[in-house]
Amino acid sequence: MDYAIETISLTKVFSDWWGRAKAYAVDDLNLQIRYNEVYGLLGPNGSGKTTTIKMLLGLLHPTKGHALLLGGDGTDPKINRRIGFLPEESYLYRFLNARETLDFYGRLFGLAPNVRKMRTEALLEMVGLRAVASRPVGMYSKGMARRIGLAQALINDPDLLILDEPTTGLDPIGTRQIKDLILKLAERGKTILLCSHLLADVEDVCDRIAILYGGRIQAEGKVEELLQQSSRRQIVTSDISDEAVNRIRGILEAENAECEITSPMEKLETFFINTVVEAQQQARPTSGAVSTTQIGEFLMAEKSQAGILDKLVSASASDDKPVEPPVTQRIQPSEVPAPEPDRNLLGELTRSAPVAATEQVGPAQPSPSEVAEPEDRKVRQGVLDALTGKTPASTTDRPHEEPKDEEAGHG
Amino acid sequence: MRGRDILVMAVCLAMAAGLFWAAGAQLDYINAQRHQMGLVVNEPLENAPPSLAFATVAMGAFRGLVVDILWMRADKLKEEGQFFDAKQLAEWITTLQPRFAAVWEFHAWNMAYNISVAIPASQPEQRWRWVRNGYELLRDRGIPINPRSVQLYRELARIFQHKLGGVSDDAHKYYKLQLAEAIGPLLGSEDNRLSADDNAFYDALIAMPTEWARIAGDPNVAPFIEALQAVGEPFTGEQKFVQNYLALRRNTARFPQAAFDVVDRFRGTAALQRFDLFAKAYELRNTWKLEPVRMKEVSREYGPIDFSDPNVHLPLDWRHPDSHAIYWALKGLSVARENKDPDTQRYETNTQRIVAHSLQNLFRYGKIMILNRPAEPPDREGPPDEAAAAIDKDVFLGPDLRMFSAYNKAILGIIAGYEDDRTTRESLENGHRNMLKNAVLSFYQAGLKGEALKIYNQLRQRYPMNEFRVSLEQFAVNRWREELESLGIHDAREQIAMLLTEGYYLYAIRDDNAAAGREQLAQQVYDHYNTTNEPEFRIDLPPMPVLRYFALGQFLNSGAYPEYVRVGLLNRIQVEKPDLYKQLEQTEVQLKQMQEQGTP
Amino acid sequence: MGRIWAVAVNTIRQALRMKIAVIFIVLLLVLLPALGLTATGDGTLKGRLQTFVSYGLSLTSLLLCLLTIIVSVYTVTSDIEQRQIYTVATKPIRRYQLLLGKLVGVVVLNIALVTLFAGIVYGVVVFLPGFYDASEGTLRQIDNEFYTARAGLVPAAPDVDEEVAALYNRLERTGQLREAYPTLPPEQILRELTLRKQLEKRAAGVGDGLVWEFQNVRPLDPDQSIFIRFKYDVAVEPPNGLIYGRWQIGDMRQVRYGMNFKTPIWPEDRADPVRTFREIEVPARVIAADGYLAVGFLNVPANSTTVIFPLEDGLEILYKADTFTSNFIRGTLLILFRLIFLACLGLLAASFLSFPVAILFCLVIFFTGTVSGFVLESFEQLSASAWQVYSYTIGALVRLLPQFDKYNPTAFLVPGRLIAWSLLGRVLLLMVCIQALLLLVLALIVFSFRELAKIVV
Repeated sequence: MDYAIETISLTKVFSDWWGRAKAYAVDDLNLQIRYNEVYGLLGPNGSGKTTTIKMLLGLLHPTKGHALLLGGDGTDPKINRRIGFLPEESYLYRFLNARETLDFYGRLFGLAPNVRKMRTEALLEMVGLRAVASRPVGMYSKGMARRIGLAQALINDPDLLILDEPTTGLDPIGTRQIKDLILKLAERGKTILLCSHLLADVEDVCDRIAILYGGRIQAEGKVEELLQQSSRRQIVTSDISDEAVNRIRGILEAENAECEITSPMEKLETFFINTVVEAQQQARPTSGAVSTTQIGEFLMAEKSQAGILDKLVSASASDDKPVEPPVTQRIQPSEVPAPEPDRNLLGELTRSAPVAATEQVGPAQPSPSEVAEPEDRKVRQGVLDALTGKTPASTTDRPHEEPKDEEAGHG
Repeated sequence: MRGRDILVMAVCLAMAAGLFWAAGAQLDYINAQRHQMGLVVNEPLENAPPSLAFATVAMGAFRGLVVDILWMRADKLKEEGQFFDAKQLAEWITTLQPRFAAVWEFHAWNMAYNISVAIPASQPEQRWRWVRNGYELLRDRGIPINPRSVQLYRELARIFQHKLGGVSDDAHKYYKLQLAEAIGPLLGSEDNRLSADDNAFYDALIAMPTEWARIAGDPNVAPFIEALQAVGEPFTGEQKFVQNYLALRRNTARFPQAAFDVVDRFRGTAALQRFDLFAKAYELRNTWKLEPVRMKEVSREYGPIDFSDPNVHLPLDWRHPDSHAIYWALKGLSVARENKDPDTQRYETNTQRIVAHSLQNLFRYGKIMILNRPAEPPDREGPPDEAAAAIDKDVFLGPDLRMFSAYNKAILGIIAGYEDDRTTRESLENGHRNMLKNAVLSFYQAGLKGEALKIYNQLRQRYPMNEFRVSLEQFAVNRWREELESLGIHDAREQIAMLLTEGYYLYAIRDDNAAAGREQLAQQVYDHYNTTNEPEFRIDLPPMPVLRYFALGQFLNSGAYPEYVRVGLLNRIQVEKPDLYKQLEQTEVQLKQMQEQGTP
Repeated sequence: MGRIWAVAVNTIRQALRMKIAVIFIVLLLVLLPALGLTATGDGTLKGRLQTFVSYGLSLTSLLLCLLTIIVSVYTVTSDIEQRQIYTVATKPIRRYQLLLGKLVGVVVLNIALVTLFAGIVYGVVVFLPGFYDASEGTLRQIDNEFYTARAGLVPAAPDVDEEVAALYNRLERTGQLREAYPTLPPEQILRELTLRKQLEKRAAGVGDGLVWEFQNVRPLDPDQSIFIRFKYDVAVEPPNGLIYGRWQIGDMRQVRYGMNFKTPIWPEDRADPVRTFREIEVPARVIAADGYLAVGFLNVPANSTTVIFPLEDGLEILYKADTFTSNFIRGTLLILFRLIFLACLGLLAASFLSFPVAILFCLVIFFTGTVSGFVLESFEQLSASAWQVYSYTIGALVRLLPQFDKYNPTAFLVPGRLIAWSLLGRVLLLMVCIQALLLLVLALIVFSFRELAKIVV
């Protein structure tokens, strides 16, 4: 009831033919994941991350202990309806094409035909696979398959998203997209459980992390707390003269503190993306993941559009409470008037269903997030519309390293 | 843990090695058993058409299994009385196991016996079709693939002898008719110079070349061949040419007029004669699988004798199935001898028996008389040719007394084989004695008194008994009366009438000699009754002409003979013996008068 | 339910797009017409038709059974082995719904294919005579013997209990019981005596006759023929293998009570071989208006031996009870039931076995079911003790399996016999409602409780 995901002494032992215990994949695991939290489960290969997830979802039976998902059992359809799961590899039916895949999964959720169709198209657009939507999934590259996998995890607009190695196999642009998406979703109030061993990715997105090894939690806590080096300080300035630098150095030396003055490094990821985008504006896009350019546009367009989106969402969410999850620091995008056509599109999308229902956020307060009941159509559509096409591949990043002139850099 | 794993593995390896060795040690014994039970039948086929060879090899180890399944299906269907699949299954089974002689034998027997009998006798064409399927399976496919297998020859002989030659099947006459019609046209030269009864005909056949190339290159014959080929279809190729030529000579209506003109043009020429002989030899060899050389040998040994020169054997009547039976039985025997088969002794005895039985058939029913029946509207459906044949002709069988010599010799040969086995020999000799007794009567009845006397002497010599002390005439009469009395016919009038009726019947089917013999015997029996010294046997008999009339009436009104036969007799009498006809009319008038007057 | 249907559609798509179904369909589409052209049987038109129906339906049934096994196993095992089940099972669909969906998919596919191919066979069979210039007589014969569904009426087993009891008592009183049957227990002796008495009632000595009476004979078409199907059995083989019999078929009451003849009595004198089934064709007019029919047989003096009609199948009246088309449809349904059973079997096997093992398992059961009749019969050939052992172990197992060869539609269609609704119902009950359902329930249970993920350490 308190937690989105809770495990109590969860244990999984793999025994050999004779019934003797061979390996403890998960050993007495006690996890508590709060609502509206992005939680990262880290660990080297074979540390039990995937096994834990499988046990949560009912694909494996725990040897001891039990797991609670959204307050209930992971195999209960009522709970499953609110969960989105992306396995470590996108295990999809190779003979279906992208549209049929999403349609199939949509049916499994029991979505109405028009809702299904709309969401399918929207998701295809979002992951940038609309152009290859009729190709059988078996012929997709790994990255494209991953995108479709992500799409099927989102088709029911889940409250809880379980992602197992979401960024494995994606190029940096795709990785960036996923990370932005995760952040955006977290903003919307979703809970996200992330498994990965790509530490850099996890670092950017997660609120709390746990490090698993040998089936046990070795370390757990909030990211900054774990990573903060409390014994040192970092000061970031704008461009200053060498003379100022020397003065500062003098002050510090007077305090008997070590200091090192360099230019801060841009993140390689950002640099990479910028370079690629520029190159693509001059050449043809690559086949398949057409999304490359689009994302680029997204990234660029985001700034101008984000405002509309957020406006829309905040308008539809007739909430008085500010959407302020305590842990995250979001940078409020500046308000920019949207170009005409977009508003119409948005309007069209939102016209058909009344986006009236309350959007309640799962706060850190111990009140369960109430989901708007079977009127999926009303609430979800609105929110999902917000996600569609204009997914803010937000450059709003995790805290401090990002220089503010980032925003001014594009547009 | 590691140590334990190693130990377990070591034990397993040791056990595996032990089992392998034990299995290997058994191998020799298994191989010996295999050979003993004759289970190894996977030899490749030589000289087989590619499709057949492929089918036998393609299945590999499953061939036996498939054959078993097919066989079981055939059996099951047979039990249920369903035969629609039998031929197909037989073909498949024989295709898959062609070297397994029992397979051919069984299926030929199955088709010729079980299936044919399951079809009602009202459909003789269907029956005949299955009997033919049976022996053709053996003759045309089984034996060429297994030329060294003696049992196949024996089975073939048996089908000919028992099924076609015997009288137990209701439709046996139909079979004989079909066989005679099929092979008849091949026996005898086209200009009727050499008939089938002439040994010279077979010499002429033997003299012909065996290959098409030789005859086509013969300058005497080539013009004819070319001329006929010029007509075009269907006179092309080799076998096709020959078969169509033969069909043309039988029935010109089915062929273009031009072909008939060619034949007409060459009529009387050596070219036509030679080609005709070649064609017939070719057909006998390739379709009937009868080799003219061997046919002549068989005839020389077992053929009917010419009464004018008892040392000369005339050719066998190859229209009769028993001739074929003898041929195949002897061929089987020669194969056994060539094989140096350890069972050759047994085969010889068996063959002797088969030959003797066939000779008996030939003796008793060897004379084939085919009469044309006036056409009836067809009410049965069957393949056109056979239906037409069924409608138009009837076959009548009578004894062929010329076969007696060969038959007798065969029986004596068998008896000689039982020198040391007294009981068997005695029973055989009993049979022989009866046979001779019947033969005497038959010859006498047929009017061959000289021959009858010879046999009678043989009888006296070999079996000196009281009943053979009387004269030949007396003996014949006694025999006749004994036969009839054994049938329960004691009335003298009936006895004489029966003889006379038989005589008229023989007249009707144009076996005049035998008819005359009957009449003579009838007269003798009549005389016997009239002049006997035993008063209790004296019976008041009406005059002979009246008895004749009575017998004639009996014959004409008897339902046992087809109507057209009886009508034929009347016509014949009218035409050939007008005075007898008048006499009969007179007698009729007389009888009517007597009736009116009240005397019987 | 929408979810079940979604899974079903997906399964059908899988079968078609993964080419499994396509191969079999193409194979059948090629082989069936080829069979139609080359089926010669024994050359007659009826033989051709029979051969084609027999082999055509058998081939269809075989290939579709194999297809069903493969598809039903593959669809589950591929999901598990290729792990697509991870994304599917974690959706709000229960495990049993998943499996049911697959079953529905396989069954729908089967219905479509069976309809298609049975339709082709039917079409060929109906139009084949048009290609052969058959005479009136042949067409009539085929109408009577093939394009029909003949029901069989067997005479009721005579009630001999009293006689048997009397005989038993007599034997016991006179002490002959001990002599005759020293080793058998009383029930078995009674059974032997009953058998003997029943056979006596079905035997005719030379010069004797037998009469059987049937009630409620209602042929569909009074202008067609009915058939008396019989089999002779003899103690002594007749010399030429034939038995001469005089038959009279019709309303004997007319003779007995000296009434006017409203319906004719059909006489037939014939000679038939022993131990083979024969059929006498009799016009249906001989049946009385109230459905009464009597069949009389006289063992004419020309025979030299007693003739016995075996108890089970010695005498039977066949009359047309239904049309060929509806019979054919029922035959097709029999095939469909088979396929449903195999689909459930495949799902059960796949729910806990890997693909190759599951396939092998299903194939073994399928082939055992196909030859079950033969296997059970073959036990009788063994010695008594071996028979006991086999009968109770393997025999019991084999009997549990569906007897495919006993309910084989070709066995009925080829000789033109009726597949009764009751038979269909019995097969439906046995094969589908009981056996298939049992397998399905087991499959659902196993599948619901197993771990779907693989063990990766």
